[in-house]
Amino acid sequence: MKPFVVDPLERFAARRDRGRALEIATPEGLRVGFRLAPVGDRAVAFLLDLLRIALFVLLLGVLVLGGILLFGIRDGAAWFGAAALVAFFFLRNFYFAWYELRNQGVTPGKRRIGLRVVDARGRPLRGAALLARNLTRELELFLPLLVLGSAAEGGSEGPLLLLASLWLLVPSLLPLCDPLRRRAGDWLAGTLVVLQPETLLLQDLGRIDRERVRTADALVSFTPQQLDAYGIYEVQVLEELLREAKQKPRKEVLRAVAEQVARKIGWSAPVRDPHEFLRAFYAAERAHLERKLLLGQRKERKSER
Amino acid sequence: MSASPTGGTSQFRREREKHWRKLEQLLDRVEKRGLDALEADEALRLPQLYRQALSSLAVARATSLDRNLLGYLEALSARAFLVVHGSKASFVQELLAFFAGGFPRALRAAWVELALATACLAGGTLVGSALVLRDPELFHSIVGAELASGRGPECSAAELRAPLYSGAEQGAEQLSLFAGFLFQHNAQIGLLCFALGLLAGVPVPLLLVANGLMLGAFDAIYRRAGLAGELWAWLAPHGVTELLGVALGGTAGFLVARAVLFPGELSRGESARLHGARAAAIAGGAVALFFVAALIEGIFRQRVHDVGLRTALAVATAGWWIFYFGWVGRRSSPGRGASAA
Repeated sequence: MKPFVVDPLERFAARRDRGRALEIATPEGLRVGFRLAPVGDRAVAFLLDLLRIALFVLLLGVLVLGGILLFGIRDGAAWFGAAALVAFFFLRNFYFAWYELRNQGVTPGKRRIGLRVVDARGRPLRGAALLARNLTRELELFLPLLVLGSAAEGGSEGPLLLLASLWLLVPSLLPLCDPLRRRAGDWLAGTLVVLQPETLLLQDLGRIDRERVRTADALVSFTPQQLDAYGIYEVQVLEELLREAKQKPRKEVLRAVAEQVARKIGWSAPVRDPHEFLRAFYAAERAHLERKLLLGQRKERKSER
Repeated sequence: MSASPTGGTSQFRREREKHWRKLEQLLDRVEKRGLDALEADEALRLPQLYRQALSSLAVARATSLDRNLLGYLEALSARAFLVVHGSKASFVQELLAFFAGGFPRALRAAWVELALATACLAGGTLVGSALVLRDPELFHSIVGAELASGRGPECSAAELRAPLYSGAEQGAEQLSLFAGFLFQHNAQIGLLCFALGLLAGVPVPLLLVANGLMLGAFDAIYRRAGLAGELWAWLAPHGVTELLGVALGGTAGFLVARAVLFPGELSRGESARLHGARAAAIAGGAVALFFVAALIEGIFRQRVHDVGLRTALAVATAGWWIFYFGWVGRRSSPGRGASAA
């Protein structure tokens, strides 16, 4: 499907931190996190949908042409022309609403980019709300363009039309001013556009398979005093580092970090395999902090006591 | 201290992971092909698995420090939430429920806006008629050359009369094109009316009054020629439906404008959400009215030239719409209609 970005982990990491985080309350009482779709992504998705509409329009044109060829200019043009006019009307006004209603807030363009319309309060999307969010496109995009176009043509009404188009641009520019990046239509419908959540469950680094370790470094153990040296933030940074190391091993970085850790906790034995050593330390440190978590002690950073 | 410190959360993951994977697999299929992609027993398991994922997320948030696991459960719950709490009504079902009750109910709830839109339209017509009766030359400044198509105060009665009875010589195929054009043109304006409500509603009354003025101007020049009755017999069969459609578009626009300007006790956002969906439903429903009007205008009117028959149809359509918007959907529960609307 996707022509580029092959590595799923890289793609995942790239998407994970994009867009502003927001939470939607589920009826079950738990708040679930989403990421707001950046304006650029939405613009690209919209262009893709527009392209698709253009393709449909082209198809309609071909049909009318075929009708003329088959039934003659009089009959063919009239019947097929009438059908094409009506079809074009529905395409223009109901393309987005139809797909979003059918596919739970996803149009083909949005699917391609990985976007999704959701109700801001976590309720099911309603048909009328989707209609509301999409019928306003006419006003937000086509009308300002139309008026701007006729203003550019000049004439005595030119300056007046320019003024009118400034006014008409107000709803179009709304998403740039709103922290939630809502279009006027989103605002009217109570919807938001979010990134489709991507699920990628990686190996549990806290689990060490005793049979498959390469060096004794993986089996070392630490004292609670040594493990008190760090907090949650450091453990999660270490997790990132180890996961990256699985993709692209960077020996010198791992060695430097291992030495740093050894110094901090007062580790005197030599470290032969920094990667294995850090794995062991990560597993021990995480288990240590998670145990404290169960006792209600949450140590965010190493500086905390 | 054990040498392999696989703490409680690793065990937690080992025990639950197969459920998460199962849920992920079901979600992959639903997101690609919809809920129909699931077998009956899978469809039953989906909400269970969803609630399990939520509980896993709650546990993980409290006990786990594995950032990847937390992110995974967060995203998994979010994906499942969208599927489980997404809308399940089929498009056709929702459409049927809408026309069987939601539509007239939505309009009845917006009677103030409907009255306002109708007043703009009727007021424009009366003023236009009065203006042109007093000064016939005003006709050309109200009605564009395209719409007037050669008609004006200087025309003779015969010239004015001719367009009212044209069309018989045209074949059915020409009429279909005419009807198709009328439909998409008028319905587009009706839908635009809704969106214009966002501009604080200012363009909505302008559009309605301008439409009324044109109608009034035509009325005036035909009245001067003593042809008012025949003009209205020509206009009314489709005009009843079409003007109602325009009024519905105006109603939708006014509803949006009210939500924007006068939210009352609600916050502006809440008021927009409440009225926006209702307004969009009314504007969308108006499309059906324009469709009916275009069929009458494009086909019936061009074929039937008898004033009596034309009047009869006008009265019949008016009666039907009064019945439909006045009584349909009164008895079924308004709660369901409100959610469908």
